[in-house]
Amino acid sequence: MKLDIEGLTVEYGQVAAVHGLNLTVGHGELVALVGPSGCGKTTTLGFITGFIRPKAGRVLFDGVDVTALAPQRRGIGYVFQDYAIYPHMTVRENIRFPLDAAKKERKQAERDVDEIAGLMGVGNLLARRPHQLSGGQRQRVALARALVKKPVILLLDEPLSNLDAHLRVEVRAEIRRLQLDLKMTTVFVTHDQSEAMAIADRVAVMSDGNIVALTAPATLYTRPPSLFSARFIGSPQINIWATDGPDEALARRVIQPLVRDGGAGLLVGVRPEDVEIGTGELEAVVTLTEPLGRDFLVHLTVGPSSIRVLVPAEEGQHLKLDDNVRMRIEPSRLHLFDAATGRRVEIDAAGARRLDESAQGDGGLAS
Amino acid sequence: MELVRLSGLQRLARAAAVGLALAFAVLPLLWVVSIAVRPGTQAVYPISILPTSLTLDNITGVLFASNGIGLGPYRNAAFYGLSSAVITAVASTLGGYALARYSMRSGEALLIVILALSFLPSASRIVPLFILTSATGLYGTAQAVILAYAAGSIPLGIWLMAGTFRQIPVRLEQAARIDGAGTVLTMRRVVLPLAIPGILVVATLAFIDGWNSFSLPLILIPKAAAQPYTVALQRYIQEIGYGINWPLLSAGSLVALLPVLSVFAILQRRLVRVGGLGGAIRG
Repeated sequence: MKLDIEGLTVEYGQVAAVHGLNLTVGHGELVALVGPSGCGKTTTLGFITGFIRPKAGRVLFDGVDVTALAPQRRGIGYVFQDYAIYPHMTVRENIRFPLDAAKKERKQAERDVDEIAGLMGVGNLLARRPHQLSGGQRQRVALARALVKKPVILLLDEPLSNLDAHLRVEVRAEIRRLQLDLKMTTVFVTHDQSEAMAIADRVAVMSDGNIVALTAPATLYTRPPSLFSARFIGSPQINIWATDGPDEALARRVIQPLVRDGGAGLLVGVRPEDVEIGTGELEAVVTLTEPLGRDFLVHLTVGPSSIRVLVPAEEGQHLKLDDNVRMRIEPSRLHLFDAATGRRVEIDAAGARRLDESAQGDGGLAS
Repeated sequence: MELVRLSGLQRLARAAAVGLALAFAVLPLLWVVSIAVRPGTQAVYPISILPTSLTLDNITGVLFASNGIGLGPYRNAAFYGLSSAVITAVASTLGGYALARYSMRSGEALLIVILALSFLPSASRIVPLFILTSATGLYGTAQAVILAYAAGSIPLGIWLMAGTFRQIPVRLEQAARIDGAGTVLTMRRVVLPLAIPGILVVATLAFIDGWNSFSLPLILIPKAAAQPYTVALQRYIQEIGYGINWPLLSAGSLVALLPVLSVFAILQRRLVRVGGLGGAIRG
């Protein structure tokens, strides 16, 4: 089932929650909607389910306009952030509810429940009541209930956010495996960029009610199409310096090999792991080191500018406060953005600027 | 659950306060019981605190003897009370759901007005109700009493049901919709089962209100055969010349207590558990 959202605009009172959003999710594809809270992710899901009435826009399932269809007739599977399991029913009754609603024959329904419960690993919990389950078990029951009717589209609203950290990674992998097995068209909402990167075929980065980047996880990381997505994706966060302002000296120096025009009106970004220390012409001073396990996050200053660098632990542990170090940034590792629009800027072989056509702007520094 | 540790003296003071409150509530009842089970000859001056011999004559007398009020007045009270309970439960469920779920600009103000209405003393409604029932030709009918009872119980009922429905997460209704359930199925399988404790409370309160009501039926029902026990028992006070018939009055009151006590005994656990939604939402 292919899902299309066309020109979605939703307003709450005078405030636009989503404006003019377009999104296509192919058959069997998993798209993650990621963005800070209030960016319109859940509103977009609410529109797909039919609970939220838009000011404008259409939603199509396999090309058929279902915008006017009631939620109960859309055949969607949905996992709520807080699971929304029916507290007065047993696990079996919970999972069977969608089949009862569809007036499925009881014997067949029970067989379907047993099958999906086994698949989700809750086959031994069918007689229990929700209050007797752990968070992880409730999550699986919610997933089983969403999947038992073989939904045309699966929507997951922050399904992992109420789980412990170690469970989160485990369940994430299970959801992905299941989704690939069943070839289920899926929209996965999360505010966690690493979760989105790990699970999705494509990641849609949302900001202020619109999608500002929509691309494969790897591309999003290596070639972020906008300043907002460059900042949102990746941890520790990317270093950004403007060629005009307090960071001018450092910014202009690192882009010197790339541009001929001096680089006015640009934002220069480099990810913490793309900075080499120990060699190079830039001199920096250590202001803080944070051990992160495999790596150290080292905070440096170059003149008035600060920079975060990720270095392997065996190097990081020798660095002390106020040490002077040499560092170097490979020009091909730089990300350039237009300071006014936030759009990615590419530099061609002749050293001329070219705006990245695939990217949408998101307001530059102001955002 | 002891929230604050009390010293020995404080415990003593607490026990005394509880004992006093209990005595205030229970002693008159015990006195009624004591009078109701003694022979008529012991209910005249000088009167003993405990009866020297026990008898059920008063109780059988009230229910079956020629000078008793019979079973009819209890049947009437039960019929009026139960009818009012059913009407109140249905109306409060519908009204409470609307107030809880549909955003109305005046919703909160409306709830306050409704709650204030439920505090109106029933005596203040008697004259308007008399005029209203006379004008509509309902005066003296069972419908008049039942509607009057229900009208008195519905405001508090709506208030309680609005609270009950607010405790049920909207998410559960949305989940039911997504699972393919329409309005009727969502209500029947998800919302109403979770609201049952609240509905029971509302129906119970309405029944007890109706069962105990005195001034409304006194005015609205002139016909003795249709009167509830509250009005019928009054005869034992009114029959001047013989004095007040304390043994029969007490026995009649005792019989009236039984339904109320049994309703509480049966529903006790469910009544206390109003809003038991463990497991719907995490935690």
